[in-house]
Amino acid sequence: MLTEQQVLSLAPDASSIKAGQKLALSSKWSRLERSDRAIWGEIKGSGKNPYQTRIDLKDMAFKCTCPSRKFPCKHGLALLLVYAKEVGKFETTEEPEWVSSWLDQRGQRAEKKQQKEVKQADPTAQAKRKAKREEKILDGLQELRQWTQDAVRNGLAQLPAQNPAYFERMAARMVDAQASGMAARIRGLQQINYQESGWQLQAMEKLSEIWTLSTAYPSLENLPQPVQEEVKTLIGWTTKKEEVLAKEGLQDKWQILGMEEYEDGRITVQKYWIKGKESGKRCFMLQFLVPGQMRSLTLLPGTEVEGSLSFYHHTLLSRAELKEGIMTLPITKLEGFRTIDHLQAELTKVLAQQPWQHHIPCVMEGILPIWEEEKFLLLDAHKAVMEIQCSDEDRWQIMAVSGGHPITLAGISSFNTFRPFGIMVNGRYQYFNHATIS
Amino acid sequence: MLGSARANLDDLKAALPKELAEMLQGNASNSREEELLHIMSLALPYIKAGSQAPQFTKATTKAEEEKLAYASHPYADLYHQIEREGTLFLLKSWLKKLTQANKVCLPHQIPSILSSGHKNKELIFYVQQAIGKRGKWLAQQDSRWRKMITPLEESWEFGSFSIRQQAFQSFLTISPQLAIDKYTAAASSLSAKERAWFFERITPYFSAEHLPLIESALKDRSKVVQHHATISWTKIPGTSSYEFIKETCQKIFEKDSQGLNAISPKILIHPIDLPPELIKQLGIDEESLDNSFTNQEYQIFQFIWHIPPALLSQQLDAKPIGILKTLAKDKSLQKYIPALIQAIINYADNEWAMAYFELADKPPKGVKDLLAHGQAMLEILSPSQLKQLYLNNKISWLKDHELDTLNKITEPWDHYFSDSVLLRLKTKYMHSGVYYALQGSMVQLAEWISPEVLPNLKKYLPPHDERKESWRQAMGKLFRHIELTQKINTTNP
Repeated sequence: MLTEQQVLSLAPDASSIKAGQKLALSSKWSRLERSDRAIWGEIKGSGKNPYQTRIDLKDMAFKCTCPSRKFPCKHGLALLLVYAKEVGKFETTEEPEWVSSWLDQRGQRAEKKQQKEVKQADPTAQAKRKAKREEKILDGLQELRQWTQDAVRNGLAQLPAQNPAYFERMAARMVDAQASGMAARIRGLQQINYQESGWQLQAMEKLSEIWTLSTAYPSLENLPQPVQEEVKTLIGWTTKKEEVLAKEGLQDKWQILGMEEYEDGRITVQKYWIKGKESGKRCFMLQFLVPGQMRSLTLLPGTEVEGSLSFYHHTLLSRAELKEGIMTLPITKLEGFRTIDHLQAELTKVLAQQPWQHHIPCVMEGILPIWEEEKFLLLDAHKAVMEIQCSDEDRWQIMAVSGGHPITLAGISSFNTFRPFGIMVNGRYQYFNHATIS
Repeated sequence: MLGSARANLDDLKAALPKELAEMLQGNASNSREEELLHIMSLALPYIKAGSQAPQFTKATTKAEEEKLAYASHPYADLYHQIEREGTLFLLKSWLKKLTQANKVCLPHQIPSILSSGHKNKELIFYVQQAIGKRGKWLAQQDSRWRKMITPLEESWEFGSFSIRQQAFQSFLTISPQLAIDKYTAAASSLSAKERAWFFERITPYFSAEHLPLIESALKDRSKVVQHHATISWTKIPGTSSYEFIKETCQKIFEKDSQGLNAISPKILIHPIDLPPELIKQLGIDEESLDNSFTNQEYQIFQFIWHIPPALLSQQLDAKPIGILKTLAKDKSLQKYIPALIQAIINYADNEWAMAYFELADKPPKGVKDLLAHGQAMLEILSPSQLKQLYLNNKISWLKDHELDTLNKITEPWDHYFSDSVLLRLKTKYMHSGVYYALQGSMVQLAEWISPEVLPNLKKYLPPHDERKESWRQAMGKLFRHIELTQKINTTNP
């Protein structure tokens, strides 16, 4: 079942939380019913007829007859809260017409959308466009390689003093060359904090990644198949979601360990880090939101989605799409690495295949958090330590739950830092409930 | 760093492990830059993958095993709602009930509770109990929190003034006698400011056995200590000082032969020279500074100021209201009323304070500044006395302080009283709006309002067609707090 905290994370604002909590008592609802795919209820509002509220459990979609423009409205939130707290109050019954017709319409719309989107364009014109783009990308990458070599020739010491236009010009050139993935990497080089110690290594890493990708792309055929696809994506080629969904899915209980949110221009990107409970497969899902757009409610950090995921690439760590999933349930058990050695071995595997991937979603079991000389560390049974990066608030939460005893933490990890998303507390996954801004 | 031209590629290549060197051999580079980038592209992931985590060899600590039971989940969940509201009295009630039940908070709540204690000194005593052994272990690891869990004795002995203040409050909560003993033992090492603060807090708990402390405090260099000591010195029955004052009282005040309860009662005030030791002890000015008083009258005026008003009612064998009204009626005696009012405040005599409000309800002509002391008088009354005055409209002239007054009625309100208060507040504030500062005071009332009002929120809201947003918001907030208070009271910790 969902927890109250998870439900509240769907609220559009603080006032909705308060209003929703106020109505989240089964006694306030004149009807509380459920089927295997939805829950619904009726509650008295200011109008003559009670409001009819329904929730599609498969996609966590809401609909209510109240006039609120908020989404989900307080009634939707309250209904889901009651479901989370008092599931026994929901009578399992046949769906009334106002619920079944809405669910059916949703299903039909999704199907139509899918059909429309997979409709093939003219293959000849498509191939022509593709060839032209290919040419533009290759030209652009050649310039980029030259730019990278120039940077190395001038020395890293020159980078901190470079004018923003130095990076921006090359990034814009990559956008023109339809290699927007490389534009983002150039901007990443610009965004390094050159006042911070260790910037030299970061700059060298980013330059060598740019170099690796820009040299790998022209000779893609020499790379293993899964990596070929990923390199194309990293350069800027996009894969339609429908094409991904058409691939065979991997069935599992997918544990949504956490979510990071960052701004990319006007778009908000939400990155959900996921791990398969049975398969151990690691992946991430992206959601792009333009201002005013409502977030998809399928993925709730701290929950498990039982269903199948399709992957963009067959690499060790790939972006994924939810092919089909049923009801979400809270995470009750997490399994992971018991030593930093094991974690690093897994990171090494990923790095060997995807040298541009620096983090993996993971779980550390039986580790001890310690606060030592203003450093927050994760100590494993072999006395090896790794730095934990998190807010003060999260640090004290972790320490308090641990009390000096081993705990299980979920997060994303690089070779030397671990960023926690949540912690297991008495069989409940406590998600820290705030996105890390990368 | 300084450019590829200066990089010694041969040395770099020679330092590479065999596997990487072999891989590089297959790549023909056209330039030094290309070659350097090739090397780095291979070497950096290689270095990363081969890195070993540092070892930690120091001993680690862990929290002692918790002996007390943890809060129940429903009670613990309440904390999160309270935390969202951020209201001090709710937090205090939650912590108090938890500790009274001999339970501790859930581990993940400890940091937030410690932070609350850090921000609000009056919570510290309860925070110390509520966080349990794990909380104490955690607090040890942060300098802000460490102070809170330092043993009381240690805080009292070595702490800064603010730490000692916290410790002293805790002593008082444990036992007033303990606080008095701590003060007595430490007085000589305290500064005047510190003595004043601590002495003022123990004054209400003095009895005859504390006379040596009080007498030594009469000679204290701090005026504040002297003031509180004088009040204490004169109000403990059975002591020689009390008896001395009583005797003096008998010489000054007399009721006429008809008695105060007769149709025209009278009080006689005999102008006498006060005993020099009393003048000295009470700090009385011998010469009048006021044209309306002779020197003897002025001394008596100050004497009244410095003696418990209960002595007066005892001497005159009359009720306080009778005495006040008689004084007010007599033009030659009216001038003593301000001294009596000050004595009521000094000695916090609530029977006399009630009489004051009765007099102030219909203020007699000619009594100076009678209404100026209403606020101070409110402090003296018990919650039930305040309730009685409020319901009987005896303090309506203090309307600017209505919420403050209501906040002094610190005992659970019955439904009738709660309903009356809310309706009066509605009449007062619905149209004028509730300023932000007042909203804070209004929310505090939730601690005492009867939860029986909860189903009737609409009764206190404006009609549908009137927005009155500020009032609506204030009531919404107040009712949320009443609901939370009720939950705290009814949920099993």
